[in-house]
Amino acid sequence: MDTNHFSSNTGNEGMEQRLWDYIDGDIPANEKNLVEELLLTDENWQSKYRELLDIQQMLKSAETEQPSMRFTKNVMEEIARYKIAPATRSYINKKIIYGITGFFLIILGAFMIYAFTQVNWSSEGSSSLPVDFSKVNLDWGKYINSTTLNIFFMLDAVIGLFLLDRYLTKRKQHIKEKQA
Amino acid sequence: MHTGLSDTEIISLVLKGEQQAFAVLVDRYQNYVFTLALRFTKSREDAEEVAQDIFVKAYRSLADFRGSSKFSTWLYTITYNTSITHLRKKKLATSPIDDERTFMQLESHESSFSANVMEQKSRINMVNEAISMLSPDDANIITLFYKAEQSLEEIGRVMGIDPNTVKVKLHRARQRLKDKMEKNFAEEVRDFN
Repeated sequence: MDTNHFSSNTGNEGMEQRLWDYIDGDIPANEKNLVEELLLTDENWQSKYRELLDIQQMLKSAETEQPSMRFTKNVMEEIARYKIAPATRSYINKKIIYGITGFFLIILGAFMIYAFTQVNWSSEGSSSLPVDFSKVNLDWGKYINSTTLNIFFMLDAVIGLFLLDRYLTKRKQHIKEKQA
Repeated sequence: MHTGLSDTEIISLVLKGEQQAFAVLVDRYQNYVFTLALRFTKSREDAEEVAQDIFVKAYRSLADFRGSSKFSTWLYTITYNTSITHLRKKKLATSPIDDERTFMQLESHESSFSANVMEQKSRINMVNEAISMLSPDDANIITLFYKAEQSLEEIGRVMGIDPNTVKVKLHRARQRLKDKMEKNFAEEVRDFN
């Protein structure tokens, strides 16, 4: 891209943005060359550049405010009452997390093993399934009634709250880590 | 006593139990922390209280500082969050903190004050006053970038936003500052140029 094309494609706002990027040193190398060339040849770019340099100089000259003379003393008196809290990572015990995972994996594994041992692998004949479901005679109405449904929904609500709490705790931790 | 040490070295000393070494960090960063807090509170008393709270928080959670970022960036993150919390507690944040309207009243008050005393003001005071007229977000981005020497990425970490958003916000903040200067200190700006 030549300088004429670059300059005509860049409006007033774009010119200012590019010049700020150039001043801040946050500009790609190819654009940097074009801006430098324009600063040598284009009066508009030169005058805007001088204006922005003035603002830059002023911003650098701004001073920070000072708290009272006693500030450090006040802080040191205040922190004398406290102890440094242990690092967050020190009280999140990974063994407990691994333990819970292991427990669920064992339960799942045991259930799978039990299910497989109940299957009649040598069954032949008309049934396409290895398990003969016709022998299973369950009275579903006995089990699914309003009480069991209520218990089911209550459990769902408890699990939902538990998961929400876990999510919020994780988010809090994430924010804390971000601060660190 | 420990003034020649780096931030990380001082933190190690504090973590080993040398509490007094923390005073060096307080001395080193108090102006920046106080200035950033002041951008939010607009009152020196409140800013001092908030700044003190920030250093106490930083001290108490010092063990959580892992050195993955500069100590200053970590401290400014606490500063930013504590200041926002303070502002919310004071119920001043009923509209978004980036909202210019929130500060219109303050601006007009300061402008009328400025008219009487402007003649005695230096260029530095004028810039400081113009910055204080900006919204806390704009003023903080400018302070963090120009005074606290934080990069766009670091400012993004402090404010919890993307560095590209910081870049856009910085550009707008400079634009607004320029507008404020032209609007309120046009004569002075001409005199200086």
